[in-house]
Amino acid sequence: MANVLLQRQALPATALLPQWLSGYAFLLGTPMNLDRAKQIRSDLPANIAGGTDPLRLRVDAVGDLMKLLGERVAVNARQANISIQLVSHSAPSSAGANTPAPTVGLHLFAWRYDSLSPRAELLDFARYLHSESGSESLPDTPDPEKLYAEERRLLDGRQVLPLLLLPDYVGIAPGVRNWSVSPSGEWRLADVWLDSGEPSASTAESPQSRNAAAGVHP
Amino acid sequence: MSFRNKIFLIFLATVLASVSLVAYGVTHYTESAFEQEDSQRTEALVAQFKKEFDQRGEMVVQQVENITNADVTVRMVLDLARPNADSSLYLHDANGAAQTHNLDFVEFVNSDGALISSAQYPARVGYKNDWVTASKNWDGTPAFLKREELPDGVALSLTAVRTQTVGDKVVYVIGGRRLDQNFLASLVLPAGMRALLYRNLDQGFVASALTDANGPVSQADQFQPLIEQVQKQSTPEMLVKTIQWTSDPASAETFHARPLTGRHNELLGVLLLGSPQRELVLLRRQILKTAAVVALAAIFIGLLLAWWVSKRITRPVEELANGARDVASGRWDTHIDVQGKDEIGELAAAFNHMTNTLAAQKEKLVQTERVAAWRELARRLAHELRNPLFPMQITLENLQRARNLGPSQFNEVFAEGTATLKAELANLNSIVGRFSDFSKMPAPQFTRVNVNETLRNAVRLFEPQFNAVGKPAITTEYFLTESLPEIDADPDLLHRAFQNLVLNALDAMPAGGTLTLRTSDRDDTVRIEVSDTGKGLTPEECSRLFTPYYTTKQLGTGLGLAIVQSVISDHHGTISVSSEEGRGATFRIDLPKRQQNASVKPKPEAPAAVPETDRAPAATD
Repeated sequence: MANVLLQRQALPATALLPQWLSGYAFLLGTPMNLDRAKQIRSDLPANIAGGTDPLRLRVDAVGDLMKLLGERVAVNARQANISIQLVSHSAPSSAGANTPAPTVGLHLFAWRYDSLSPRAELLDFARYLHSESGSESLPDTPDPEKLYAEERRLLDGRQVLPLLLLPDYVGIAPGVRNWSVSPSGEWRLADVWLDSGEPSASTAESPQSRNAAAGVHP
Repeated sequence: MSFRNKIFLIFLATVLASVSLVAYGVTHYTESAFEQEDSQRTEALVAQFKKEFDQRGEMVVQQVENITNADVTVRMVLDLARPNADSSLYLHDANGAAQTHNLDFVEFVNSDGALISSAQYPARVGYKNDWVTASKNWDGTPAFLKREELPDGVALSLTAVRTQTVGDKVVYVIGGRRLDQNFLASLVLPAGMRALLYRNLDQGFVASALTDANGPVSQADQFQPLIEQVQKQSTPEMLVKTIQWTSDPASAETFHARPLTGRHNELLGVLLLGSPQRELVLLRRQILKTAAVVALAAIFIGLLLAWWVSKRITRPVEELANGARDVASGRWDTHIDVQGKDEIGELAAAFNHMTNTLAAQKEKLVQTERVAAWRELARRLAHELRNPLFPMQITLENLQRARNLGPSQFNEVFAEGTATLKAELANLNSIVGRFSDFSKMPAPQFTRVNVNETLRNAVRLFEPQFNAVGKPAITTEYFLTESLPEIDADPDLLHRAFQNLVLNALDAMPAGGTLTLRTSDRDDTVRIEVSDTGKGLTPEECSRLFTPYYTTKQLGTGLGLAIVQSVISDHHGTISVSSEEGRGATFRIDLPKRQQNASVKPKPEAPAAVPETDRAPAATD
């Protein structure tokens, strides 16, 4: 998904918060095990989890990319004998204001990191997931161990599965040349140059980049 | 039923059978010819469609080859041939190629089977397509049908695969066109024909999987038996089925179901080519209508012909029958005027020859019988006359000799002689009278007669003789049908005939016996039977019994039974005798109840008594 569909412009996500934000994301990785997935599916009754009727996956973001990612989720799930069907989403979605429809079993959404505070992001995640019980004890100052425990608690709830981390481009003026961003969202400004024949940089929009995570919310 | 009617019916039946057979044969042959022509036309259309279908496959192959040989594809393969090449850069190339070359499905597959780019299902990029790498020689392979996985389901595609090789690097280019209503609409179909496609992508029959150029097909369930029959085939073969959409046979449509199989002979779809039967049905109706009109006309003509032929055939036969009837009634010189040299003409000629011969022979027979009768009459007359003449001659000789005797003796001889002469002259007179009576048999005067009464009266005259002293007794038994109707007859002649029969029976029973009298009603006639228990008659005697002057008695004249036969014949009746020697004889008379062409006098008020002449037995024998 990251290497092919997003053409190496994204990173596989293993945690809710990216490594550059929390510093412990590498501890939360879970290796992919297709056989184990098939085994779990076969142990479940056929009438749930896409055995007989497909699970409905709602894609919130507007655009072909999110739809493509949703289809990829369906293709991957099919490897584990789980049938997933995409449903269109009529209302425009925005981060932090998502309310899953009751008839939809899966929800593919993009999470925009608006803050550089891991605590604030985790609290937002918890609120989004309607799980704020543990988040009340988080200290005002960042405590990596408590943040790790809270994130572990959220992930173990199996309500959200982080899929990708990808940069968010806002806009680039036509005169900006050779501008790129690293997978972690870092601008590679050393290689950027301005075309002298084009309008000055003052006319260009300020490029903004934020990291966003796409995940599946069951 | 008359012969004419029989011939008419036979001829008519023959005409009807022939016309029906010809009408059925012509109709059947014409229908078969048209059906065969329609079948050939449909097969030609199916072949034309197959050619069109194959051309579409060739077009797909050509388009895939164009993509394969395009510069952008070659550059992609060159790039991918480099070490550590990034195939994700070509994620959207398949979509561009599909739009450029007007294909529904385009995919690029790497040497290891991994999907590089997919126009129809980009989410599967990176997944392996092992079926592509399993075959090493795609470049000569024609287009084939393929089950295409899509994000929103499954589709059927006409697919071709080609390879682009740079060095050791091989990239597979897969392209195809979706088989759907748009594909059907793009086909150039023969006029009056429509194509339907059933996508066999699920188990069993799914009505929504059937489509034509306009979309889903109405009444798709009508195709279920045909589709299921195709699905059950072990080897795919074209099937034909006619579906009648409404109660009108003209709404029928014949469908040729052509199985569409994939590379591994799996059934992926069924192509249904519909050919309307309206023209054929209307043509068949027209043929039947024409055949019915022609058959009716032929039957009408056959009726006229049958009537004419039967009349033509039976007219000579009727003339022959009339001629035979005339011969039977005594007109022996009947001649039939029938022309022609056919069998009927020969029969008529033979008939005329026969009547001529019969007339000649009859004339000869009459002459012979006349001579014989005269001879017999002369013999009998001589015999009868000789008997009294001989005593008369003796008496005369005695009288001549007595002239020499004394007066007293002469007187005695004279008296005795004259008495003898007188007796013999009376005898001669009686003989002449009997012959005179037979020659003067009167014509019958018909009136209504009670046969039983007449028979009883005839028998009653002889009752004194039945129980005469010194003679053996004769018993009479009556078996008379009292309900016997009166008949047209001459009562006097009938009485005389019955008298002669009774007297004949008495003469046959000198030693006594039983006289049986029987009457019975037999349709148009009445039967009278007179039986005795005498010694009976030989067959030769039976055959000559009614011949005049033939008698088996010592003193008979041979005229009794001849008179009986004459009377019965004058009454248009018949008489016959049956006898067994030693067991008596039975005379059987059949008299018609009514006399045709004869005047019948009304019956007298009082029943006729026994005629005066019959007060004493006066029968003749």
